[in-house]
Amino acid sequence: MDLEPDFRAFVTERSGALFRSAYLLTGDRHAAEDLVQTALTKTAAKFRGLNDPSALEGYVRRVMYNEQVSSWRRRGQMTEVAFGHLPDQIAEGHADTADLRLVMRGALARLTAKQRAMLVLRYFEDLSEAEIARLLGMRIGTVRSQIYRSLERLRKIAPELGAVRELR
Amino acid sequence: MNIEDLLRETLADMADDETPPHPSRFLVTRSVRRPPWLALAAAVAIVVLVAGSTYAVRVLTSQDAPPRPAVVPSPASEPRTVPLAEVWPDAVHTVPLILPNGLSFTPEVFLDADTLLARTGPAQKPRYWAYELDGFRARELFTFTAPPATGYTSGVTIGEGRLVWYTVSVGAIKGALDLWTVPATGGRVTKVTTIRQTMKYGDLDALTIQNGSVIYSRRGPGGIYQVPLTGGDPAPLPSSRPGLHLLEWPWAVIATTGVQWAQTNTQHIVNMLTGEKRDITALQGDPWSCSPTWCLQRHGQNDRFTVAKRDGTSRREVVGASLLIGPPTNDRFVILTKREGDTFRLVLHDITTGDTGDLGITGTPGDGRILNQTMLRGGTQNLYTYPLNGKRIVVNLSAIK
Repeated sequence: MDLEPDFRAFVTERSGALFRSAYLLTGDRHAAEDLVQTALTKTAAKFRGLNDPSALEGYVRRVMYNEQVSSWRRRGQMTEVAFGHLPDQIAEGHADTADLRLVMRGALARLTAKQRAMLVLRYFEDLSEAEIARLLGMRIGTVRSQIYRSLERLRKIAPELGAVRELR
Repeated sequence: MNIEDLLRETLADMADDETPPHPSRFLVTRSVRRPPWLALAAAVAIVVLVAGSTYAVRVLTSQDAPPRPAVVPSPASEPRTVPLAEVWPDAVHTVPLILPNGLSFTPEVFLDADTLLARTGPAQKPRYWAYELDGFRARELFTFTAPPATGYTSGVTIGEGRLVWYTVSVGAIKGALDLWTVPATGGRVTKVTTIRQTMKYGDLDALTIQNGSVIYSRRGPGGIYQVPLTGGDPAPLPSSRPGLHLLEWPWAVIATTGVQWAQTNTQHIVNMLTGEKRDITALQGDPWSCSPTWCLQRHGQNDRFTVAKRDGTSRREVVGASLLIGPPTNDRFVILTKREGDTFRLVLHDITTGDTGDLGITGTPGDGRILNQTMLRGGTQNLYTYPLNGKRIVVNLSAIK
């Protein structure tokens, strides 16, 4: 079986989707490109060992998320990245979803890489807590508490998000 | 809406806003922004990683990167910018941000050419109104009480005189997705079916109403299912298989199992009724994003893109960068940015006719708020709306012939 064209086709077709996930994880375009590149490089080294080519994307994503979380662990510090700027305080009664999305972007920028990864896996990739635990090699209880704490931190960083309940 | 809904929407918008680099970016060893010494280190690391695997080394060398097609500088069609309402006067409506009764509302769908379905009230107990746009009269059609523990309520889809939407509730062990329907003229809301599932926003990524049934695709594993509007258990279509996601009925995208709609490659599609498959063998080069008939090809960050039919015919260059990440909506519409110095204007462009309407919105690059409010996401959509100068513009896309 000639796998090389398969891998190249995979990169051609799927790098866009991988990049978008990486962008959410890192909040920085260049860092996202590097993260995808790193994950593809590591995957390419093991591609021949993968019996199921359809599992390739799952493998790349696993590498990407673990790389992002572990690189944060290695640095041992909280990083803040520029997702965008917090807008001015929203006048009471005038908040709309567009304003709040900007607030949310700013708040996400102030989470740790691990906290962001948890939220991206849960609310963008739509994975269950059990699936996240398997992916990151954690206990379900840890995942659950991490997600809870990440949401709490968002509320603490941006009290404006309390207005969300009033929408619609 | 709660903070989790907002988070989901924000992440989806952020992912859509950032245009991915060309795939060749990942098929070379050297990152253009790294200093030379670091690039060399990276190349060495790759050799170490792939020792014993010549395949991987070759994959990651620049010689293997596919050639970038030259962007033809001309002739490119420059859509003439005419205000939206002048291009499609029968389809474009300007309405106040509140209903005549003072309630703020969310437009859902067009019930007919000039009547909008408007939603007001809290998510747990919304009210739906028939809003006649020619006289600005709103008449209450029905109310809906979401089941306990509902965490998400979808938008409304219309077809065959019926309205359909779904709610997702989270149970102690397993959540449920409930499908609901009501006549488009109002009346009693009835439950179509309950699907036991665990996904927070529902294991459903697209739905349509066909021949008295709701037809939908599953978000996670894919597969196309149907359930009668009169109620019953969902069953896969005879031609269904895992990995299929509805694009525009009867066309479905063929994806790897577990790939969600927004991440699918729209180049390979299949007709669920006839089994006909369509590909884009006539189109080469950068990735193409396709609806059932048309494909778009972007050229990096250039302010123009190529449009062609799947068979390679009707090929032309169009001036303006597409904000659309997915395929053309309704197999014809895209939103374009037309650069004017340091700012850009947004226009709605009809690929099938070349008609182009100016939305009246200008912005600067990176202005996520504007993009969020004006995005088209492919698939089937009968209503397009955005706020403008203290009013709301609503466009009946189905009324554009």
